[in-house]
Amino acid sequence: MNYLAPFSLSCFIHLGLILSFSNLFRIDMESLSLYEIDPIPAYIIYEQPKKQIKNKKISIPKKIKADLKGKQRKQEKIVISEPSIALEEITNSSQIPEKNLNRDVVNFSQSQISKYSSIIKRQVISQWKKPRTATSDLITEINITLVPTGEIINARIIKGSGVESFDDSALTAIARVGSFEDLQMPSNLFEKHFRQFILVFNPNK
Amino acid sequence: MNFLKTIFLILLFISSQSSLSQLRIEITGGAEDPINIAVVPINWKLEFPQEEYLHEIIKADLESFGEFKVLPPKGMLSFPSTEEEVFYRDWRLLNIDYLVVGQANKSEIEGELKISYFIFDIAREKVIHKAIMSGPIKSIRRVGHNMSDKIYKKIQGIPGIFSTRLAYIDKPSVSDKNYNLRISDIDGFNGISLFSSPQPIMSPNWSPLGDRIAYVSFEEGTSRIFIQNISTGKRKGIRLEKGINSSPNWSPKGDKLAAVLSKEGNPDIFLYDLKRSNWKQITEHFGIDTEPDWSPNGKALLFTSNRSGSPQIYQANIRTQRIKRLTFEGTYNARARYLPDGKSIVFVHRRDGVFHIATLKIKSGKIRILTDTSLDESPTISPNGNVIIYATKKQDKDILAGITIDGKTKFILPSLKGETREPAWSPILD
Repeated sequence: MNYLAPFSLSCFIHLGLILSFSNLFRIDMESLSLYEIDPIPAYIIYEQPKKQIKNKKISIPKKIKADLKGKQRKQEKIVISEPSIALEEITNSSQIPEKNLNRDVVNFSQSQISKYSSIIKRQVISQWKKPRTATSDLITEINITLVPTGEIINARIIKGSGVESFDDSALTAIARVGSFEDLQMPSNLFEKHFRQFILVFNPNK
Repeated sequence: MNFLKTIFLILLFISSQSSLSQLRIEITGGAEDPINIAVVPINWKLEFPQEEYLHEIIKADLESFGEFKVLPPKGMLSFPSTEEEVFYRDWRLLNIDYLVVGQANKSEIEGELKISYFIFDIAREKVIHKAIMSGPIKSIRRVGHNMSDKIYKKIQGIPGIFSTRLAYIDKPSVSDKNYNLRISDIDGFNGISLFSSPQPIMSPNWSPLGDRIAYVSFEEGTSRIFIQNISTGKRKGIRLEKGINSSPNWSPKGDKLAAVLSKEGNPDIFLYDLKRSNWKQITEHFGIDTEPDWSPNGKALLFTSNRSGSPQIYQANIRTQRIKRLTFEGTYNARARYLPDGKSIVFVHRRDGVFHIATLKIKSGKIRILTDTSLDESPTISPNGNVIIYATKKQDKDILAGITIDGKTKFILPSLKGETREPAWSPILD
């Protein structure tokens, strides 16, 4: 009997499953997240053209109030031509602010990330009692899982140093922290960066 | 099947890579506070009365180098002696990091006791070590030091040194007109005199197994190197050469001694083969070469030489006999000893006319002064590389003092009576 076809099919399905379990597709999900697209572009593209057209509509009739009817076509023309011009204008004029705004958003989240990172860092450092084995060539990486209250619900070594007392001291420090304080943050920021993160213990001597 | 294996490996690789996109927070520093540990008085289930308390011996041990702070029993909320009796909450309230509990029972062997004990990590709420320690009831201090070593090793990751011993020379005093070669526990207890002589004794040095000591004695009117067995007390002089015979230093394998001879007129470094009883010359220079110390890997020797005009520290490769100068700062650098990792040395460094103990990283040449007293000499390093004991003066008296390698904790060896010099730290003794 020929098992090759079903076997390869099953292989393919399992491959897909394992890949999705290993978070390979997560990056796509992230780029679709509302957080990135959310604030600016929609506002500029859809709100501003209307405003400008309205303004022009108001300003034009003032000049030619008398024969509104005769100019109906012209106005239509304007109306038709306006959106493209407006859009052009918008793209021209808003290019710089849009960029700035985008950068602001990035900076905003970066500074938020580093703000909460340093809060976490400070609390771990205050609880870590480095053992005598600690030298700069030892590195332990620990995957931390938090709940929004800041409580640590899981700490798992993903890369050990090979020195038991050193790894243990890192886990003990995390256990001593127990629950991080002052980690009230927007939930999208929490979900994206702080529900799971990695603590790297690497003493500089 | 190989194809499947490849796929599986690729999958593993991908899944391990996927974590890279996560936020990483780097922790490079830690708290400077000592580790808080509680040692509950051992539940003594023997008819034999307790003369010295184990928890007090352990407390003194762990606190001696400033790394631990040990909670005294009067601060405790409960006195558990088994795993079931421990309530983590009690100890968390007291801000305890680690807890030691245990009980002493009679052993099957006459005159011995058996201590079953546990070490708990309070924050993680788990037993990190449980063991049974046995030993003679009479030498309860030894048992206590052994337990301290185990606790230290478990928490700090490097061997404890509380069971190691110290050899040193006692100068003649009013009560004893002789020089004495003594060995004692590092806390100064259990001291014995190994050899005593009205003529000077110098430069004690332990064999790598800790069973013998080599030293220089002037009992024959001239300096000669002797080797003495510690348990039997038997001693013998090694082959005597013309002139100075001094500064013996054991090779890590224990088969050779490095020493200083002046049979050719001026002092040079020689190796003595203990099996063949012959000498082999290592350095040859018209300057004085002295105070050799064997590198931990056995491939190089440190020594002091005045070949550049002032005493400086040099390193000789034993096989190629190539010599490299290590110290360039200052006009007096001497009596160097390797740290156990072989990457740094400890030596006596003079700055502004004052003699200090300093360390030097061989690769970078960076000097760090550890002590701030003035007449510090003869540093000896603990076998775990963490502590240095050295000779110094206090109110014109020769005493021994110590300092941790990070320079944070200093101490004086208090219970040594008389004037003591030339400390030599034993290896880890089993």
